[in-house]
Amino acid sequence: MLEWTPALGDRRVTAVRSYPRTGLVFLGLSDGTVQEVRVVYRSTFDDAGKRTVEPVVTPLEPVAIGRAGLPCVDVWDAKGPQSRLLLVRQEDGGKPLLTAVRLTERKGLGGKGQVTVSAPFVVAADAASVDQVLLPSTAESLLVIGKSGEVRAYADDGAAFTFLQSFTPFKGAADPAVAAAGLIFGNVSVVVVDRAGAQQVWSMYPQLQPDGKSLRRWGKIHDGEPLAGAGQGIYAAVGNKCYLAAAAGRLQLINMTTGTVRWEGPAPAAPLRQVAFAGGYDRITALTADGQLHRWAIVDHHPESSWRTFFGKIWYEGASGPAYAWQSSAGSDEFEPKYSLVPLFYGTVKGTFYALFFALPIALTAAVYVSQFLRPEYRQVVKPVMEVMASLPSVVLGFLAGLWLAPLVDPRLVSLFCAIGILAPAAISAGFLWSVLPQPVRRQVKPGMEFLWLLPFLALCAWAAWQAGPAIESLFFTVKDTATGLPIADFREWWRQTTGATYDSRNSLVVGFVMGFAVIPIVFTIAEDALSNVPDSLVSGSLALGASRWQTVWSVVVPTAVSGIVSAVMIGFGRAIGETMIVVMATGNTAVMDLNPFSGMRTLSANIAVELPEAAAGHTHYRALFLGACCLFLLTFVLNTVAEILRQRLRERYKVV
Amino acid sequence: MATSDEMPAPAPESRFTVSPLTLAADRWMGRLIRIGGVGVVVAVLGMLGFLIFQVFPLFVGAKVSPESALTVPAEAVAFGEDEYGEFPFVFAGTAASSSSGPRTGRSCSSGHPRSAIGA
Repeated sequence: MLEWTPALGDRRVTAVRSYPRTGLVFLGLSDGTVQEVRVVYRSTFDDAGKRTVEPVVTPLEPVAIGRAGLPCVDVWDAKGPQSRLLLVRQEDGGKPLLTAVRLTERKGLGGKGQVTVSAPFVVAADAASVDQVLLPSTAESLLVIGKSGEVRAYADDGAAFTFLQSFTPFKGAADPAVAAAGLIFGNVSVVVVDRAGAQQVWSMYPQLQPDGKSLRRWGKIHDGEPLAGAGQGIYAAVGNKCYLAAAAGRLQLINMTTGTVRWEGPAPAAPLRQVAFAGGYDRITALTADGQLHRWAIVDHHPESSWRTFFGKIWYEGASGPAYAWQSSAGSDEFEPKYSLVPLFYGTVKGTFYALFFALPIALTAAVYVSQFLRPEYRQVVKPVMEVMASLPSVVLGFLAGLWLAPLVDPRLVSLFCAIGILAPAAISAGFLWSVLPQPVRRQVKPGMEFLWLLPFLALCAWAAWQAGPAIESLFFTVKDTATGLPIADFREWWRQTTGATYDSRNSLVVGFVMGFAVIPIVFTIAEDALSNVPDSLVSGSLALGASRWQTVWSVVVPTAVSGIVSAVMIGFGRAIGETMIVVMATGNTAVMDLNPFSGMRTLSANIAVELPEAAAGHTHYRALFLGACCLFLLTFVLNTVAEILRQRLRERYKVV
Repeated sequence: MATSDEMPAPAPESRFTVSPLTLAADRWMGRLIRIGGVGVVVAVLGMLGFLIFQVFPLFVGAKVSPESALTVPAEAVAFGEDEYGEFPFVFAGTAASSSSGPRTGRSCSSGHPRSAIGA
């Protein structure tokens, strides 16, 4: 047990503020000066390895801050990027007086740093009354809460604290006074509680001002669950966005981001004088007015998680509105993690849609053609080749998509659209032309060998369309360059200016196109098997009754094989929804929710692949990734089950034996 | 050309008898296939179970339990503690709580909470 008494002479201690985690105590004295006291614990070990801890108390020289002769009512300390700020509150004839000094320590390469104390300056002189003062630990701003419930915000401009904004959180309420308030870890959000127990969270985020500028100002972002009674104190945790709210004899541990009450229990009978969380968020210590130092152990491994965290729309700190967002890490501990799985679902569905959009028409029509029209000797070649395509590693496809295809397609997008777009009309036109050719000419080509003439024709059309791309681009997509003011023919710039949407080089179309290549062989192979296995007797019967080959395919073969085709589609769907490497390498992995086909995306599977190696085992981030895997599992499980039921019904309906 | 009205010799009885080895192999393969099928289902459900096991703690609330209560001077107005919370100290004796001033009373004390509680 150590006892220490400050040597203060004729002065008395009139205010005390302790910062438990740093061991700093600030004594506001009766003459307006402030003395800093540092408590350091020194551990020593004897020969037996027994640890002895000795607290060492070091008082520093008092610093003159407040008006001489007036006792300090309260004192605060905060460490800014350049200097420390000491702030005292005094009462001058019943009027509040806030005065501050800056302490700047210049350190050389060796020796003790020299501390320079600035001249005292008055802070928030325009505040009519001062009920509470909230000084962020970074000393970059100051909130002064008046007795009327008005909160006045000041910002440190380097020389003084200039008025920034005032707001009244409970404006319109019967009693607008703020009963309790506290800054949340990170210093950009404040929780305020009124005398009826209503809770609000205010945060700084960009807001459009009347002059058209967007400036960071305080605004309400949440309405919390009402407390049982008048707020008695808001005490922020360290390292996360939780806080302890005391009201009407109850304590609530609340997460600010989600508004979830993590725990609720009885408060000590005597009023709380000071409450502090341990740095590891494993302990709460509270000093009560009856001379009891209470300690509670906290076990809360995932304070930021709730259903709302993963699936709800949340207004995060610094954001202009509620959003679904995934952002699991940042460069600062004060960062608010965002674990919404919704943008990842969105990216997954978007990627799958584009992949199937490309793959299904090609794969299914190719399967019909190969199984029903192509000569058997060619079928024997085409099918194994397609099966070899299915064995291509997706990382190779992703590599090609990200590093070769995307840069290639980027400047010639219109050419690509023209080349792809011309294929279908060209094929239909070729078919029509073929049908009107005289029989002697058509007999020159063996049945099933028509493609030998069609392919060069389609290649020629595609080449011509590709070459015509720049001309079409200059004709329809010419816009004024924002940098030079000159007209330029650029589809990407036209897209940005016309739609206001972004254009990313690694976008949904590229990934859909390449994922299509991964999906096509699988769908083709299974669908072709299903179509080839339709009994010849059905085909022969149909042809014998006078149906054309196309009528036979459409009315007999496809309905008979439809259950196999559905299986093929569902297996292709499963491949697309779980595809990882192509998406990782060719989408940019931005977790955005955007219908724009020229923007990137992030899928559930890609998210797991990218982030799991850097997630600490057992951390919320780690488990959130497993939740993504769980959702992906359930999604594919449900869809495959539905598809299987559908397949069984179709098989019953169209069964032939 | 001679023809024969003789009936072909009846096939030996063993011709229609399945070898016990074949039956045993068939039985074992049937069991193997059944085990394989059930194993696949169990593996898939096991994966789901593992995922749920990993995810479950995300939806568990906080547990806060009283650990100790240390009696300190009733006039204590502020406290501090070391990183592990083993040695808290309190500051007692402001003008508000002690008219005689801190010089006459205990101002800053530090001690292990457990020993104090045990005392």
